[in-house]
Amino acid sequence: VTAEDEDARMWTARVRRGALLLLPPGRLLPDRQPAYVASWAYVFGVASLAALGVAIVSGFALALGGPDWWHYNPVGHFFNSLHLWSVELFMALLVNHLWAKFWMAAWRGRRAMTWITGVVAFVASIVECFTGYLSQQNFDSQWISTSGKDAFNSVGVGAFFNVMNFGQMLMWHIVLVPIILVAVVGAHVLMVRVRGVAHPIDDAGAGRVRGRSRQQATAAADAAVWRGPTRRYGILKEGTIASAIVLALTFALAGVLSSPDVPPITIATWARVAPADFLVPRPASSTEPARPRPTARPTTTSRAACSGCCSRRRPGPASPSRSSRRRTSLSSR
Amino acid sequence: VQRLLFSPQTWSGVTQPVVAAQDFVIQPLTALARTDPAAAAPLATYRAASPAQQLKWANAYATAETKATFVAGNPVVPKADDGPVPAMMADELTLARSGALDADLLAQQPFYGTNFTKPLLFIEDGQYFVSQATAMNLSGSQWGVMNETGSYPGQPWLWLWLLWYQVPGWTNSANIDMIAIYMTGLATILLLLVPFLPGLRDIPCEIETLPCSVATAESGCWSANVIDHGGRWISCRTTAFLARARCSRSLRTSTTAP
Repeated sequence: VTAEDEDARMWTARVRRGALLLLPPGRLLPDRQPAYVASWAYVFGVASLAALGVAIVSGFALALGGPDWWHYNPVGHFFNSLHLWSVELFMALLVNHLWAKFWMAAWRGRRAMTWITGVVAFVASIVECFTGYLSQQNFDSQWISTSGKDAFNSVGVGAFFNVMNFGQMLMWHIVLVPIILVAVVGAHVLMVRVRGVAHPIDDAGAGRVRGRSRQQATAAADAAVWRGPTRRYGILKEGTIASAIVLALTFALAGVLSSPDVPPITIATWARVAPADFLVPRPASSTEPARPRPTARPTTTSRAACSGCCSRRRPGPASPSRSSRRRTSLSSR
Repeated sequence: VQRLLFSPQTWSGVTQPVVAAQDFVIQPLTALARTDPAAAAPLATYRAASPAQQLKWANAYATAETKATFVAGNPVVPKADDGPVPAMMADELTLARSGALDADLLAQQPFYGTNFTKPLLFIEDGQYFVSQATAMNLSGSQWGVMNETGSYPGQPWLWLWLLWYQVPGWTNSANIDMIAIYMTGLATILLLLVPFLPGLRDIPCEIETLPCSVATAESGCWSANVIDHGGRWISCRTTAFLARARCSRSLRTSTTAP
């Protein structure tokens, strides 16, 4: 056994060979693509990536000043606006990308994993956005966390994912979910490069063909390398242009529309505005919060996450003199 | 506790114990009593009483309090057999007004704590918070957490989760939160598994391809796909859809005609 043979058996060498086989440089950074790819329908994917990049970089800027920097510093507020609008653009582009791929049936030709990683990235993006809204430290955060907690508690998730725990939500937002999101998006992009973009649905209609042999032939054609017309395609140039456009759009939206920051409610403010609410004790005979008529919004409180922690909000009009009566409990549950 | 066949909420147990009376009233008043003898006396009286007596006082106070008035900002509750409770509640109000209650609820955790569960639960427990949110178009009937303060887009991607809260029949269910989570989860799984689900995965192909040669010839979609798989694709599909409708109608007519 020669030294070269020994080297070839190394894990590193095997992984390198496998990677090159799966994704040769020409496929990773192609300079030609099927002609049908030169269309606006394929722009949403790369534009989503560009918007994600802007969101990440603006998030870095916010991290420099700390979580409450943007509340009192105009520069911080502008970066928050950039962060908000890049996220709005990202989600809008992502949804368009998802729909476009659905109508192209882009999972054909052994591309199911490409579709699945895309959907997982979409779900991770929603979690990322949700935890971001919970980390804002303003009225929106207060409202979203108190409104959403019961849904998570009802299925037991609230026990380890407490939406009212600012520190936990911030860490999920800036560490855990971004790592997962970037990893899944990376896998998704690599899958696209490995399998290539799905071919157009042909006249035979992949989903409509009858007969096993016909179906197999269609599936093989979908999975095969594209033999039709191709055109020159600068993937990096496209990415750069998309990034520049998304960045310009984000700056324009942030500059013109800014971002909301309604201050959070404090107990002190409430007590000054509606002092009568603080004189109301919880009905002493009750040992369990009475079930409210559920509203069309998650509002109930789970005992799993907070053992008999609070009286539940009761919907309906309040009397003018006691616009916001609360039921401070003096009787232990 | 919500339950649909089973209740996962009970499996996880209590991870964040909060006792309203102790955490929201007794503990803040205890902190106040350390420096304010006037607040210490009623608290000591209350603590020394038996649970039955405490309950009796609380009930009596609950009745009397409905007729409470404010004189120069101070609460005046009609006389009743409610022991030290009126004084304690007046102290609670003083604490709340000064901002000490905010600080105390936050202080009920380690020095560098970042958990706002207790103050948020306190704030949530009343109509004031809701009325503020409603004024900003954030209530449940306005699709709640999907919205954002001001005229900003908020989180429209949460529509699927909030959709189930609007469904007639489910809106008033005692288990609406579980229903919403389960249905959203089910829809997400369906989306994830589209490539493997016959019927669902065939929708694009069914729409893409046309059922009769007349429509195909009219639309010329195949050539459009190869040349331009976007742009003209939408207009092509619209044409194809209309052609398909015309085709189906003509087929029906020819079948039923004598």
